[in-house]
Amino acid sequence: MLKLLHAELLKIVVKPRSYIGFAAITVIVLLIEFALWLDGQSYLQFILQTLEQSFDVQGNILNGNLVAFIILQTLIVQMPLLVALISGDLVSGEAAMGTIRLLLTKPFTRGEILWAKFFAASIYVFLLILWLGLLALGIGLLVFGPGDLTVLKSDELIIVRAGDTLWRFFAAFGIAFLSLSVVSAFSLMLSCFTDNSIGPIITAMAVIILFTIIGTLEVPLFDLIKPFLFTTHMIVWRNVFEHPLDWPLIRNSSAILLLHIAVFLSVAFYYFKRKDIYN
Amino acid sequence: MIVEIKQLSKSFGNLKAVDCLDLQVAPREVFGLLGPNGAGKSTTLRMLLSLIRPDEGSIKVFGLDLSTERRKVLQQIGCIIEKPDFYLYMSGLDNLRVFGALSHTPQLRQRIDEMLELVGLKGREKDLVKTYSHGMKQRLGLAQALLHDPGLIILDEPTTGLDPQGIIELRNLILHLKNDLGKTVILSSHILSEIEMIADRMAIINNGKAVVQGRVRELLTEESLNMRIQTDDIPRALAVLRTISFQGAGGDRDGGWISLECTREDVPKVVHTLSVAGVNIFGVQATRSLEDFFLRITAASENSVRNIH
Repeated sequence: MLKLLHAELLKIVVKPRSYIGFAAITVIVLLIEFALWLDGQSYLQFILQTLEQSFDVQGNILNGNLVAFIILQTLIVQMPLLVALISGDLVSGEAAMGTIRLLLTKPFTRGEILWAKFFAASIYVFLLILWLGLLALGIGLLVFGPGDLTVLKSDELIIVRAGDTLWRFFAAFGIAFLSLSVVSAFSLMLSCFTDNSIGPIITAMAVIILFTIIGTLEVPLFDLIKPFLFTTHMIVWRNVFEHPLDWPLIRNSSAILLLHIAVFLSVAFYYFKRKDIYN
Repeated sequence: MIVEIKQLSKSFGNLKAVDCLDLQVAPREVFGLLGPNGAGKSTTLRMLLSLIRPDEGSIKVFGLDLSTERRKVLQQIGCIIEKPDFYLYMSGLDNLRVFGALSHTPQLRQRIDEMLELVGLKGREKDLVKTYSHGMKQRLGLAQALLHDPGLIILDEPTTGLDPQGIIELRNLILHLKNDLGKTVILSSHILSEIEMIADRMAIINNGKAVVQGRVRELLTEESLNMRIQTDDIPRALAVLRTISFQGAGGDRDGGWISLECTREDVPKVVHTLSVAGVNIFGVQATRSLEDFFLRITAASENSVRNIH
């Protein structure tokens, strides 16, 4: 099993496509940080203008924690697409290239092969989030310094003390990992259904975009569907920056995300184990 | 037996791709699988490698049931199926590392060097596979198939895309595997002369059934040969041939060659008779018309199928 995992990781490392995600995150994060460093105060004034009519806002508002929070909010929407780019190709890419024939004639069960692919994709997702964390929080704190995190919501203002932010960021990254693992399992499942390399990637992206749109539209019909969409629960990471913490909501959403992973993987395993390889 | 296939069947919708197929492959033999396109050769080989699940029947390899001992069976098989596909974005060396490790190859680095030497890819192993020609990929495929020193090697149309030199080298390699290393090789090919040259036994598959199976020499012994004789006196040669009941044909415009149909046993008799009669013989060629044999066998099988229906 370790040999399989090593092989899958090697394929991801060697494949140029794998670096698109890291490159995209690097460019976006550095761009946001540069823009905020250059003109962050104007941006803050614009955001806080209504608030400053009622409150006297003092201190280093534009700090590393806020910068990391802004980046997280911006990028969490895009990251599933970057994950689908890798996971959607894991089985179908091999089928399209023809290497699936060789891979499946090696002395491993198909279940082991699929597990190795999922674990490799999970490691990729973990590294992607780690990279995001290092750039957003690490460089953010280095350039903008520490400070209390001001989370502005539509109907409330939450201030998280500087010493209370780090674990929340770790928790947010943890939930982000879980959310992206759902995307990974979903893309892997789609990847088992076809021998076309691009199809599952596009389909996964389209589904994520569609679900996200449904999740943001305030239509009564969609309100009925929203609890069943995994994208609804993917944004629960924001709740770890609330005060007091809504633990039941976080636990519930995390459980639903785990359930989605289990269902997607079960379907993938069931289909892949029975799949005849013709190409 | 190394491979025992019994009553193997596979359907794709209404199409019966493999129909109650029985095959046996003995140790240390090259077994040829012949058949027209769509006959069921590739489907059979894929079922042998558990890429396709049979509808019915059983496959035993090295005495192990493939359906229950898949892992042990695959450990002892090396293969190239259809065409040698590799990770194009990796070097040949990295591909061998990946597949060698997955085959549990001991002393992998050393084995890779030996196999690269054997297939003539030494010096190009660090190049990306996407820069390889088809022939080079085929060689890499062979290296990969042999890396873990398997007892059974399955090669599906291995000469496709190879140049004549490559075909000769491959043929010699297969014979080396059998004669010197004691390997069993199953070879599918549409080039009938290939099978004749290297296979010990063969099966002709048509409509998913083995229409004939046996030792190549025995199967082909009764087949007529096309014999060509080069002489400077064609009319006299033809007249002598008629005295022993052979109808030859030919003329000066053919470069002094005459041709006739005969069996393998007739060849020395014909040469001897012409020599005794004083006809100068400058060259003799005897080629077997395998195409005719192949077409006759497959047509007969189709007719029998039609008759059954």
